[in-house]
Amino acid sequence: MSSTALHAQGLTKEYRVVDVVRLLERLRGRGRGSPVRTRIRALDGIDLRIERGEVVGLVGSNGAGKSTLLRVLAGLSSPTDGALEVNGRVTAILEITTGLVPEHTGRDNVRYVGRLYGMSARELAEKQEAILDFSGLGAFADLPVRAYSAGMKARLAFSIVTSVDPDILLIDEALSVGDAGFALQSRQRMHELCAHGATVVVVSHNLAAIRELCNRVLWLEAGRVARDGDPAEVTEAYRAVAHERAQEELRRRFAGRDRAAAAHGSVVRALRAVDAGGIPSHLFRLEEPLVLEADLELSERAPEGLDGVLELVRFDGVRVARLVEPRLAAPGGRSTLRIDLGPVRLGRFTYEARLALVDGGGREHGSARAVFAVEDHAHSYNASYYQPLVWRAEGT
Amino acid sequence: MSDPVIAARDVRKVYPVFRTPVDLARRHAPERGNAVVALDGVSLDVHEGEVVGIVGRNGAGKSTLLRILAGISPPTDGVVLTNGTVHALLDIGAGYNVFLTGRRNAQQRLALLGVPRREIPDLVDEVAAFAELEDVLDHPLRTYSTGMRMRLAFAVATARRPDVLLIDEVLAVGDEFFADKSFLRIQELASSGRATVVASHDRAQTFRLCSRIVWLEDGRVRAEGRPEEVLHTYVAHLHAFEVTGRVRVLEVELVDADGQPVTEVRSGGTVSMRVRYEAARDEPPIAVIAEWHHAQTGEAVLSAWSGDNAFVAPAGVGRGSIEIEYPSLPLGAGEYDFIVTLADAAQGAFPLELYDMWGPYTGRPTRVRVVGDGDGGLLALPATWSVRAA
Repeated sequence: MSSTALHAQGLTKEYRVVDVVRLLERLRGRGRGSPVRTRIRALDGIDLRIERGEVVGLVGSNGAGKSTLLRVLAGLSSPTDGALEVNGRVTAILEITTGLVPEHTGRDNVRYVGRLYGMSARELAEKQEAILDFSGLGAFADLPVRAYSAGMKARLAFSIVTSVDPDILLIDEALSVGDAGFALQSRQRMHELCAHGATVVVVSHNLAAIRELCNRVLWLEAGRVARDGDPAEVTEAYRAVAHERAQEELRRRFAGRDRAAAAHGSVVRALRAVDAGGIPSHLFRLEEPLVLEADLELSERAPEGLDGVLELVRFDGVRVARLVEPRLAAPGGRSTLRIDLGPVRLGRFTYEARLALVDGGGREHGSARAVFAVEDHAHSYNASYYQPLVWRAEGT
Repeated sequence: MSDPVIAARDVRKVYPVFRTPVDLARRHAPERGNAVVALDGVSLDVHEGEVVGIVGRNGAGKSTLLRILAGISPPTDGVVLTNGTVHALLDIGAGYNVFLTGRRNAQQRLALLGVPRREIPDLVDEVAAFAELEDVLDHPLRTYSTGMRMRLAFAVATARRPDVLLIDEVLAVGDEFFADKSFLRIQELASSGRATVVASHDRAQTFRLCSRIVWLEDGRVRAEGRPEEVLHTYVAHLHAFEVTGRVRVLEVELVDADGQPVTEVRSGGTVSMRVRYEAARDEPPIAVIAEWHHAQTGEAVLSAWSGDNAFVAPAGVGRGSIEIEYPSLPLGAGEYDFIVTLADAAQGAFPLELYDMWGPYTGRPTRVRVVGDGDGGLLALPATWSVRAA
């Protein structure tokens, strides 16, 4: 057999979309000039050679063509143009319930789907118990799949597909179904498959996982290969672009949520999160300096020595911090307040900051809000805060 | 108390098993070994304003219970009474037509959900805006990526507030930022409606969202109560199967900057965990997972795997110690549990087998009080304030 597992040349997938409303208008002799048919190019001339034993990660923003490429490689969707050569047995996990028959029991589905994926009867007889065992379905193995929860279906499908000894394995993310225990099991199984010399193409949004698992990464951008090569380099380059894009996206999404309320003769005119360069930002990388900047306007009627109260509320309503600066030395008229929060170490979530000026009696004299999000790709565990730690060991 | 919005009494669900054609003629009963009991006498009252979380492992009966509450599947025995319109988000992706446009699919689904015709156009615009699909709404669904389909389905399913909302596994969808947004939406729906029942594997989110937790195991209610009452025994149960004890943690002590043991820590102070362990045989290098959980909510406020800092404790037989220093503890005032887990470093950040775990779930003393000024929230963050005239 040749050493190339997959070889694609000029792979193109085009969807033709007919706008029925416009078509009807056109038939009635109206709406001339507006196009009835549009084309959406999901893949745009992809040249790709994947050697045997390579573990390739696909990254790219939503709608870049990752899923389409996997579907075409799996033979589930035919390319509009281009050539594809596949050497070996291809197995794909693209949708959770791939091929499961709801009326059959879990046990029968193992046989049925196993055959579908090209396992021999003898292979199946040997592996059936191991597959059911790995899926952890217990007594449910003898029930029809329609009685299963989504998590149980995912466990069954995953167990079958990864038992096939595939030459080429195609995996679309969405594997995060099932309880924590199974998520760990499936991660271990992926590692084993990759270590045993299968050719793997995997799509994921989890860049840390891609980096750990793969020895080559492809970055897709609007249906083309934007970059191809070393996992660390490509994921880093992609991350930089994805950051900019997310920043733009969040700016759009949070527009209108940054707002101010005036009261009692003093005003917080605006609050915004700004980056190291003083530029308003909605997305911060871990360890990037975070400053909240507020425009104040205190009238003559404003009482002396207002306290500044800053609250940070996480998206799920948990108040992560409340900071009070007693007797803010704000001059009359317009001024700018800077609250320097140092390097961002908050968990990777969305936050709303709310600044209020409060007098001794607890009465508010104006407030403003700003929204920002934190991203992090460096840590394995989610936490509310990432404190840098010092680890030490004394030997045995 | 007022009448419950949902009342389920002694609900049993038995699925018959058909292995051979002869089974069609047989009587099916669990004691004969040809039927599986998915729910075994579950009673549940959900009252006005409650958000109830159903937790438990895969196969515990969570989905079966939701299907029965939703009226999708009839109980074998028992009674379910519901008072008001019930809307179930059980399989949000089901029933979409890939050849129709996103708009057409949304219209159809909304009509199916009982939205009056004249309200649909406005609601579709809202759905598109929430799902961030305005630009592609008139393209057929087959051109959508997986993430786009999920966002559309989620936005449609949560567009209208029913009296009783049942949710299975869809607390959050999409990329990380959309996940925040979708969780927020579920939270709004849950808090504004008459009653909500949620079944999810995301423990942290379920426990935060719900006012009452029902823990199912093997089709029965194992425990029930406020989240903080159920949390520790539940988490202990989830972890129970994993500990091998090949390396044992002898003791974990909190010490201050001078190395003196402490039982109380100050916000912003320096504190170290000192872990003494013993390996009976020659074991590979050890990785450590160090966590601080909020005692009331169970939230992992601090959580770190030593591998992220390329740290492993040396291999070998005998005793050793590991020290983990928090140079400035960022926790707000309150009670916490610290948890230290040792595992074979080669198993990565999410080990299947643990050597040992020192935590409230394994019966070791871990409670610690953090003292600080006033009610500051979850974290104590340093900040510098300055004002200058514009």
